[in-house]
Amino acid sequence: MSELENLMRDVARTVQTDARRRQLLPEIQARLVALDEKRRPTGAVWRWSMAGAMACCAAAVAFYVMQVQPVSFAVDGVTSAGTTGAVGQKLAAPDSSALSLRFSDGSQVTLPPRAQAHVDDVDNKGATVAVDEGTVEVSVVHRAKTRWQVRAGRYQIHVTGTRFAAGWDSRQQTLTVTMREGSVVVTGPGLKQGTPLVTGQRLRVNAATGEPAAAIEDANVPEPAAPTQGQSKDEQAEAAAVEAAPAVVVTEPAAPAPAREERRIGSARTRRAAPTKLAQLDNDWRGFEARHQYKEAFAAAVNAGWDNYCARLGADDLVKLGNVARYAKDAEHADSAYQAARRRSASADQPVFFLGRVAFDLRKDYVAAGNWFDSYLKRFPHGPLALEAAGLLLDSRLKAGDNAGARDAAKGYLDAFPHGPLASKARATRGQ
Amino acid sequence: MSVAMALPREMRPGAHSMPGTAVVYNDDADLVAALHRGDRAARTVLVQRYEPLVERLVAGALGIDSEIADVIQDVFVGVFEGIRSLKDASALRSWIATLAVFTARGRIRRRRRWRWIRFLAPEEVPEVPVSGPQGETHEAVRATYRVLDTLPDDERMAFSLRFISEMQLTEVATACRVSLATVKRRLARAERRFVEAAKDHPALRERLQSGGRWGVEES
Repeated sequence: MSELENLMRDVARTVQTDARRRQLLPEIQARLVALDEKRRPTGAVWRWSMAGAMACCAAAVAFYVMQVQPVSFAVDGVTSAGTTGAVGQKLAAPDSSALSLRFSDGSQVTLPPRAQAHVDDVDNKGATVAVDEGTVEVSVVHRAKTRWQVRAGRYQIHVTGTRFAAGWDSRQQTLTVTMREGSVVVTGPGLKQGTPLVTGQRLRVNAATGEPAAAIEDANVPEPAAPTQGQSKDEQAEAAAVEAAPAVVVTEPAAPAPAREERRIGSARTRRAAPTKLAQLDNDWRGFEARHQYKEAFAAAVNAGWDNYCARLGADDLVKLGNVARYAKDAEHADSAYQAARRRSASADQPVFFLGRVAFDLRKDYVAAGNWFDSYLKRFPHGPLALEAAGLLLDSRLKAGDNAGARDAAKGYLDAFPHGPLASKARATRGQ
Repeated sequence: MSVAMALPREMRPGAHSMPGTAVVYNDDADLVAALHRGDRAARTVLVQRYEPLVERLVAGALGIDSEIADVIQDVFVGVFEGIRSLKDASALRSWIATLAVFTARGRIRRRRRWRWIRFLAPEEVPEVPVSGPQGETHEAVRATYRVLDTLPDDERMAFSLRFISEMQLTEVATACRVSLATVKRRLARAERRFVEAAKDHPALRERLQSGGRWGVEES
């Protein structure tokens, strides 16, 4: 049998297994019965259909009105509980308490004591909030076509859905942005093309001197996540260890360094922002990756500074970067990207799984692979990769010659996936 | 209402029910006769009997796809609407297979048109998220269907019926309503195109070169 036929047989198994897993027959039966009922119109059905159609029209009109309606906001404070806010109205938090702006799209801006801000503009996609003095906490709810901005002096922070703190010192003309979640792009003096910031980074930039004096540092600011229900103490400790992992040093990409003036500000963990070059280099590996040219994508990412990417990218992109290295068969770089993804997000399941795949496929270290898959299943028993992790745990134990471990893995597999694609192998391993 | 419909189910010709079970039709001739009479129970039996076939053909043509249930539904709606035109009950299976093939091909063509209208490249069209295998398995299956997306519709259908739905050549020819020679030509062309296009997809290229591990086996 040719490799093509082998490949197609595997595709067929995967596709058919997926279809069976979705148990379509009852759904199809139910749909056909419902369709049959619909096709037998009676007076009552006709009336209900008309009522339904009118309700749909009303809902469509309401949806349209909501879409074109600009967001509104209420101000919660000591003296003004839930009063409707007005665009342009200066808002100043008292000396001893905070002021909170609650927007109709679910977003919220909190002014701590003595902070000053005002809402500059609102439309149906979001709002523009101007920080006049102090540091405000911003939490924007992401929706389709969200357009939110925070303005501070001549700086703009472009937001989709995220949480961050924006501080403005009007006397020093200094902006500080501290990312708690998501990403933003900051534009303004000293930031030519816009500086992207991701979770855990902090930007300080001064507009007073007229010189580009921007600094991005790894702020290590994510708030500690509450222990997930059902996690064991070990798992909680592991998660905590991930959260508390030391901040990654942000370094310049290797290739373009000679052309760039580099000035360290403050500590060794700070660097000059170089958004244009970074964005261009970023596009290189992403472009190759999108075209499935993984070796080229890997070379481009290494050339541009692999460690820099590991320090800068969000968890999803780091998994993508790790996959690029894995497809290029470079275990070391793949591991570094997946480990960075774990540090970035303790709740992300894919890095754990793919670390197992690196150990299994590239390093042929089946003991380590088994440990990763075991870890995955303990932490994410219902994760999207649980079926594959359970199968690979079984394979890892078998390949490592760990018969007792393999029997345990087989039992776990059958308990969780009694009709899974490796069920027969698991039964054979258990000696049934 | 016909006389047959007025009779209790178990007394109608060709049908009987076992205690505690739904009505059973001995063979396709009985089933088709009951469908011609408009027997609703026969519809349920037909769907139970042929849904696995339709699912295999549609899933093979579309891959892991959120619209599989919609397409299967369309196939059976077509079956119920056209059953009166079916004169030879022994051809029921191949007739349903043909309907499945043409319905799936229609869905593929509609998507292609939709993409053109949106002025987006295929890779830019957002995929509908569906549950399914992840990781490398997912990557290889996705890559397979991306390559199939580049094939002409008729060649794609012949290829998926033969290699993914694992039909015999004669069955493929019947389902596609073409001659055996035409199917062979389409398959040869599709295979060449597939292997050529697969070189651009690492997950397929490596597999075709070395026959690497897949990690999924039939239960």
